[in-house]
Amino acid sequence: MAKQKLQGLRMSIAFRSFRFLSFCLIVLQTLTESSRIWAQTVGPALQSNSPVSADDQKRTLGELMRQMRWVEAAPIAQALVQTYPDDPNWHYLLGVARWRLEDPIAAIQALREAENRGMDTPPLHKALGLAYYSINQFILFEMQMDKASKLAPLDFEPIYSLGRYRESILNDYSGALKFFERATLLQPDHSKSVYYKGHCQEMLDMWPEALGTFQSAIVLVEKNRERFSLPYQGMARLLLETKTAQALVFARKAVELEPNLDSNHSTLARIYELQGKLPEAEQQLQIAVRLSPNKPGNHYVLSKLYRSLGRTEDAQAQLQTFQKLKATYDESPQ
Amino acid sequence: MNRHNSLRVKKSKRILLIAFAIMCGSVCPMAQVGPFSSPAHAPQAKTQEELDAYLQIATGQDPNMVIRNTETFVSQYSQSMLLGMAYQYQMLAYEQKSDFQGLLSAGEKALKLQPDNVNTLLTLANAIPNALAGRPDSADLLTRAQEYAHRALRGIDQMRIPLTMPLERWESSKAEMVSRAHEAFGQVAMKRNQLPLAVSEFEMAARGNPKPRGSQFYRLGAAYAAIGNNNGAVTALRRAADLGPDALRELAEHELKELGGMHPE
Repeated sequence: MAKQKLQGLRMSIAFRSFRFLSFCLIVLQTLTESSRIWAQTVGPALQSNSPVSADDQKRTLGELMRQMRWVEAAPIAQALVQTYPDDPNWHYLLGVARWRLEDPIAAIQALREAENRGMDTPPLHKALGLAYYSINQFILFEMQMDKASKLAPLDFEPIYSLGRYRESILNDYSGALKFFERATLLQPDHSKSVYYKGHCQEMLDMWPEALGTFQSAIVLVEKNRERFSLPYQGMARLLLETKTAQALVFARKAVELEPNLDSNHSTLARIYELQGKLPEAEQQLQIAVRLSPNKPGNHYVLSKLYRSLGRTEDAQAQLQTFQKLKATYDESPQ
Repeated sequence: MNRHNSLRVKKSKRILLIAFAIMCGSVCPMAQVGPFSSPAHAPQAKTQEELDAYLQIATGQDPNMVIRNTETFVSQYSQSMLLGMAYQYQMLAYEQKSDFQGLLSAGEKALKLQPDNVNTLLTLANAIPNALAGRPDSADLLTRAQEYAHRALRGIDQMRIPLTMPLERWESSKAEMVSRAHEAFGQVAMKRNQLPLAVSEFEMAARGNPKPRGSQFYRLGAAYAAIGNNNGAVTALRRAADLGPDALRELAEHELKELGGMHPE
């Protein structure tokens, strides 16, 4: 039973939104790109009948993208696309702006225009791949990431994305592990690649390896001063049954780093429960429920806890909420 | 009514677009049921060109273009997993053009590929009773409309939504869809001259919709008038006139005048 619970907890981590990580990746990518974009837009002027106004637009666009002011950047990119319809750069920038405005379909259309006009660069393929991913077009996502990877074999990002896809959507942990191993070879200080490598090991029951990998991820998080809690949560999950006191330290650290992540609170609650600290467990579960009110599992665990505390009415209420949510929500990876 | 029709089609198209983007992975009241609710089972384009062609349909503004593009898509990608969704867009384009035969044909092709698609079921169930005039198969069509509405209700019950969608939003969207199913039942009952049943279905449709719609109150008013409940009719028609849109407002006001010279307040 305890193993099942633990498995459930691990699965819920496995199902954490890839969307957020994709977003982080594109932020990273676009930030990196913005300096290149800037170079492009302030670089040699393109052919135009009205060079002054077009050059102004290019400068303005570069500045807006650098400042991540996407709402203002998109119409200027659109205007430049109309002025220079054959130049893939403006289509690409329009695609990036639309992606950042959370319009993946318009982003795909603009990025495809860039690709059809001969653009064949890793940033284009990565952006297009992530846009395909966001509308669940995984075959095309994989194709784009493969292209990006072939063009830039030392770039870890496409490999990392492919790993995340295998891990979170397909639950193919051994396949994902290979990608994360490659990603960590290419970019050894990328804590997320290291963490997810450990997570795959955990899911494949390679616990001693997973412990070591989470530890390595923690070293990176601390070195890079990142607010990334999952390696700590991973350590807590692995240690909670055998070394509960140590697990508690990690779980608390996870909550401290990312207090808005419900799974950090439910992990901490589980440890408190094992230690017999039921009021503390209740408090953490209530936070988890508040942070993710739609997740059925948190209500179920809270219901069981209330039953242990003899609060049958509260237990019944939580159980009913659990049943209602279970019948409403699709808990598969999203 | 054409303008009203066009607004409804636009709304359905928006819902479809969102559904695609989400069925697809985030939030949508009309997220496709069953296998499509999970990203791992989302229909996949096999090539970029296939998706380009599909997106051209999905984002098309001109109904004639949407219809043509769908036909091209069908001929080029006859094995596409996106075919069912493409037919849905074609169905909505035909609805926009008030072409009932086209709507029925596209909708039924969509249903063959996605039998539980609530959006298609509701569109067909509501469109059929409006297009029976002079058709020898009208009794059969009414039976089909009723069956579609029943299937839609079952589909709505079985829908599973993404965790990212707040429960309140889902409940509101669900009530809206249920309301459309009752509207279809009401229309079928009206055509069969089962007036008390029609009133009861239109009441459920109009009053159960969290986003009140003029057309539903208009139908309720007409049903009340048909059973001789003039007070009920006046109240419902006034509400319809309030809610609009303009074309419907004119109709409601006309009906109010017909009802013994009563003018809207």
